[in-house]
Amino acid sequence: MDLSRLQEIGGSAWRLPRQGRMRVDGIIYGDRALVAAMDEKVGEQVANVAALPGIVGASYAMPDAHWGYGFPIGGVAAFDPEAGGVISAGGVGFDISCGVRTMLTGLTRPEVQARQAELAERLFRDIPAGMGQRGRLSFSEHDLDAILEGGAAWAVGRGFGLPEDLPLIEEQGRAAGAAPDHVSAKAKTRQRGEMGTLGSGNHYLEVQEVAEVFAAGAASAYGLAVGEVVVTVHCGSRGLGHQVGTDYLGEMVAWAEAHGLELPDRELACAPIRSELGGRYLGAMRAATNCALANRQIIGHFVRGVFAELFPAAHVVLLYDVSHNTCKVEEHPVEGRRAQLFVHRKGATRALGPWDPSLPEPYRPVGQPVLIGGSMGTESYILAGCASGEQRSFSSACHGAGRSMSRHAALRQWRGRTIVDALAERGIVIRSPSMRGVAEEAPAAYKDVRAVVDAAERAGLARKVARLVPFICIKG
Amino acid sequence: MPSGLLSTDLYQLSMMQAYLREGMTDTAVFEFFVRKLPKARNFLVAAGLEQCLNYLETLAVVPAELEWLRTTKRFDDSVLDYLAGLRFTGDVDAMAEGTVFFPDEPILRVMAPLPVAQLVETRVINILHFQTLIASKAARIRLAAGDRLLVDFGYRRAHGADAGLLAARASFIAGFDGTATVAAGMAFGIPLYGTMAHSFIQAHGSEEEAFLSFARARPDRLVLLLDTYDTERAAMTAVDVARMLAAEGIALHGIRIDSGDLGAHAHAVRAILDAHGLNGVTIFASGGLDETEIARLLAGKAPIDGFGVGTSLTTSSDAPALDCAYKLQEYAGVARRKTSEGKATWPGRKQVFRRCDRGLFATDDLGLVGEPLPGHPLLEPAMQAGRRVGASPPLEAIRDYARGQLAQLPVPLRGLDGSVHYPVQPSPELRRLAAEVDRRIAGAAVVMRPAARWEHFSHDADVGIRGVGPTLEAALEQVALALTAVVTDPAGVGHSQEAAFSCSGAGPDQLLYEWLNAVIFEMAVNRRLFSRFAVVVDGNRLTARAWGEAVDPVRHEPAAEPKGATYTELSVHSEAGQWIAQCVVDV
Repeated sequence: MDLSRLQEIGGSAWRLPRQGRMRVDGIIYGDRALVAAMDEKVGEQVANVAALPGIVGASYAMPDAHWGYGFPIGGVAAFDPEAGGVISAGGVGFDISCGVRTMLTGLTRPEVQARQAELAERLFRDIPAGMGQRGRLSFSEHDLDAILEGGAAWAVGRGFGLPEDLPLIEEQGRAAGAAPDHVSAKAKTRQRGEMGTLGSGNHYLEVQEVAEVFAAGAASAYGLAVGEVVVTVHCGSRGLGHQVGTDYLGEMVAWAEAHGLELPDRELACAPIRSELGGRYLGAMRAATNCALANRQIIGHFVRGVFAELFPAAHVVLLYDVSHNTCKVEEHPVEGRRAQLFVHRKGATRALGPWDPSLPEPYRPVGQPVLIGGSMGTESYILAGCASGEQRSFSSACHGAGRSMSRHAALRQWRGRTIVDALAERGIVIRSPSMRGVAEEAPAAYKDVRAVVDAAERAGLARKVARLVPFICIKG
Repeated sequence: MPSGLLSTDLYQLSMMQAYLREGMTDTAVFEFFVRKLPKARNFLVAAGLEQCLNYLETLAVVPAELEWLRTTKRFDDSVLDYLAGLRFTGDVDAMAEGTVFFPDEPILRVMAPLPVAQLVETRVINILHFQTLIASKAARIRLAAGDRLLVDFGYRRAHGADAGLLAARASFIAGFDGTATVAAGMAFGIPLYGTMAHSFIQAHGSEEEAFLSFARARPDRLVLLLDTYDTERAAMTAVDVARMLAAEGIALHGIRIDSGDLGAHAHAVRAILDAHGLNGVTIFASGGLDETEIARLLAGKAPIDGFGVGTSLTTSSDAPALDCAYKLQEYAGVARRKTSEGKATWPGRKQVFRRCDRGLFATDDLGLVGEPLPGHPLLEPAMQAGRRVGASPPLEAIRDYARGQLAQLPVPLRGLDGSVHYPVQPSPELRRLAAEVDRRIAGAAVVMRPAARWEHFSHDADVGIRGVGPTLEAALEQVALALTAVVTDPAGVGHSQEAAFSCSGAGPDQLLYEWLNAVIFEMAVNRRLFSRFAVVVDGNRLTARAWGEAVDPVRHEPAAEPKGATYTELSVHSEAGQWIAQCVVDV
C-alpha cells in the first residue's frame, strides 16, 4: 500500500484520514513493512467500510489484513443501532463463526512423538477433511434446529464433550438470539453430512508443541507449559453458514438497490440493524454461529476419542474456543459514553482485556486467550487480550498470518508433494486429501505470522503468551 | 456372409483411433432416418431390422481380419486391441419392420460406446437402406396391384447376390405373395412361384410338345408361357393342350404373358380362354412392369390376375437410393445436432408419436423420448446390452402388420404421384432442445479459437473466476467451469451424472451470482463436480444442464471448496464482441 496516503500515528498504527464519503477515519495496524506490503485494495476497503451508515470509532484493519470482499479480511467495524447502524452479511463473511479451538492434552512431545504417524492417521480418519467428504453423523431436521438454537451446549447435551468445556467457549458455547426459522431450507440441506467435518481451504487440525512461553503468568493461567502438546482446530460453520451468507448477501444487495442505498461496493450490502431484514439476518447468523460452535465441539470430542485410545494418560482439556468471522453485540465506549454496538469482525479475533465479566473465572486476571493460527507447518501463537485493546480496536486482534500471495500464484510456484516432503524433513507430518490444496496453502504464501503478532502486541491489541509449533497437520 | 466387422468405411477405423486416444468412449446415440422422400413418393416402409440386429449381435473380428489390419500398419495397437475384444453391448430402439414412416423420423437408434456406435454405421445403413428402399417400392406396387398376385422376379437384375435375396424378403414384407428366388424360400420360408422360360419352349420342336412335356413333369398348378412366338396362337395351343391334359387328370391353372402390349394380349387371350370354357384359367403378366405400368393396365381393365415384377422392384428403378443417414444425436449425455446446409438434424433421442383419425394415420409428432405427447410411440426397444429384446417375429406376422399399416394410409397418400405431404411436426420440446444445442454449438465453435475460455485471476484470500465467450451463455458456461477448476482440473471430471438448474436474477450480474451459487449448492449438497455446462438465458431467467460426477477424493484431490460467489469484482459485460462473466469466489 502506498504509505503516503496514511499518517503514521505511533504504536504501529496508521491513519487513513476521513475523506469523501467516509464517515470515520480508517486505522490500519501494523509495522511499516507489513502495511507497505498490503494490497492497495485493503486501504480502499477500509475506506469503503468507513462510509457505511452508523459506523462509530473508526474502520479498522488488523496487522494481518488482506484484500477481502467488501470488508478487508482483518477488518473490524462497530455500528450503533441508534445512529442508523447497519449489519452486513458481507462484513461477517460466508464462513460464519469460523474460528479456532485449542485443547491441552497434558502430554509431552516425546510421549506423543512415538506414535506420531499413527496419531496422524487416526485423526485424518476420524475427522473428515476436504471437499466431498461426509461426516459420520447425521441429524434430523428437528435435531438441526436444536443445534442452531443450542450450539456447543446442545452438543454437550448429546454427549459430545463435557459440561466443563462450555465456560471455555466464547459466549459459553451458545449465541443467544438465534432464529433457526430464518435459516433457509437450502442452508439446512447444505448442512447434511457436514457436522463433525473440517472443511477445506485454510481449515486445519494441528497437533502442536508449546515451543516458547512469553508471559509466564498468563501461560500458567491458560495451562500452557513449554514441551507440552496441544491440539488446535480451525474450522467454521460449514455448508449451512456458507449458504446463510450467500442467501443474505443476495437479499441485502437487492434491498440496498431497492432502497437507493448507495454503496461503494455491492459486497458491502447491508441492512439497518433495526430493520426486518437486519433482524432476520441477525437471527440466522446467530443460528449459523451455533452451528459452528457445535461443529468444533463435536470435532473436539472426536479428538478426545482418538487421544483416549492412543494415549491413556492424556487429559484433553479445552483451553479456549473463539471465532473470527462474527458480528456481536458488545458494550464499548463511544465519545465518552458506553454504547451497545454491533461489532463486525471479519477475520479478526475478539480480544477482551483482563477483568471483562464475560471471561471464564481462571482467565479474568490475564485476559481472553486469543488464538492465532499460523500458516500450515509454521507456527501458531496464543495471545492474551489487553486492556488497551478496547480503545484501540473495540477489543479486537489479528486472526492469523494472512495471505501474502493468492492461491492462483501459489499454485504456479509450488507443488504439494514438494511441500509435504520439505515439512517431513522438519518432522512435520501432513495429511491431506489434496496435494493441490497443500500447494495453495504453502507456508510461503502467507505473511510471517511472527511479524503479525509482534505488530499486534506493539499496537496494544493483545500480548504474546506462547508460541506453538506443529508436528502433525491435517489439512482440508 | 462375412463377419461384417470390416464391412465398414476406413474413416470409421481412423476415427476410432482418435476416439480411443482421447478416451472418448462414452455412450453415443445415433439415429437412422431418411432426410427427404424421393420424387413421387408419399411414404416409406421400414425393413431390415432383423438383419441389422443379426449383424450387431454377432459383431466380432475374426483373426484373419485382425491380422490383415495389422499388416496394413495403418492402425496402432490401441485400435487392434480394441477390435480384438469388440462386441456390440449397446442398446437399440427401432420401429417394427413394416411400419410406414416419413422423413426425419428415426426408424432405428443405436446407443453404444462412441467408437462402436460409429464403426457400425456403414453396415447398418447398408442393411436398413436397401430393405427399406425395396419394401417402400414393393408397397407402391402392392397398392397399384390391389389384391392381385404379386411375385418377385428380380434376383437376376439385383445388384448382387445379397440384394437379390433381401429384395425377396423386403418385397414379401411389403405385400408381395412370393418370389421366384429359391434361396429366399430356404432362407426366409417365402412362398416360391415360377413357370417356365422361353428357352424351354425354344428347346422343343413345338410349343405344344413343350407344353405337354412340362405339364407331365410339373403337373401341379400348371402355368404355360405364351409369348415365345405368337401369343394368341400360343393361347389356342394352350386351349388344345388343356383339353388333352384334362384327360390325363392335369388341370391348366394359368398362362403367362411376358412381352408385347400386355394389356392387349391379356384381353385377346382372355377372350380365347373364355370362348373355350377356360374361364378359371388365370392370366399372369410379367416383363418390364412397375407400379405405374400395373396401374395403367388395370385402369385399362386388363384381365390380368397376377404380376411378376423384377428389375423395377429390386433396383427401385424410379428411386434407386434413399437420402438416408445415420447421425449422432447425443454424446456423453449431451444432445448433438448437425446444422450443415440442407442436412440439419434434430438433436437428442427422439420418438415418433402417431395419431390416427377414423382408422387412418392423421399426424405424427416428432418428439423426445419420454415426452408426454398424445399418439402411439413407434420406436420400441429392440436390443438391450447387446441382446435382443424378445424373439424376432415370423415373416408372415411382419407382412400382416405391414398390410395393416398400408390399410391405415390416408387415401391421398396411396396414390403414385407424390403430391401429398403427410404432416410430421417437431414438438416444442424438440425445438427447444435444438435451439439450446445451436447456442451451445455457437459457443463451442469458438472453443477452438481462444475466445471461449475460463481463467482464474488473483485475489488475496480467495479466487477470482472468469468465463469468456462469444455469447452470454458461453461466458456463463465457462465461468462455471472456472468454478470447477477452483476444486480440481475439469479435464479430470467425468460427465455421467446430469443436473438441471434454473434461477433468475434482475440483470446479468445478479444472474451470474445466482447461477454460480446454484452450482455451488449442487456441488456441496450432492458432493459433485461438473465438467460440462449448457446454459440458456431467457431474459432474467437462466436454465441450464450440467454434467459431472461425484467427488472422488482420490482421483480429484479436491483443493479448496467454494463457499459462495461474491459481489467482489463481479461483472458481466461484453467488450469487443466477447462476453465476460467474473467474480471472486470465497473458498
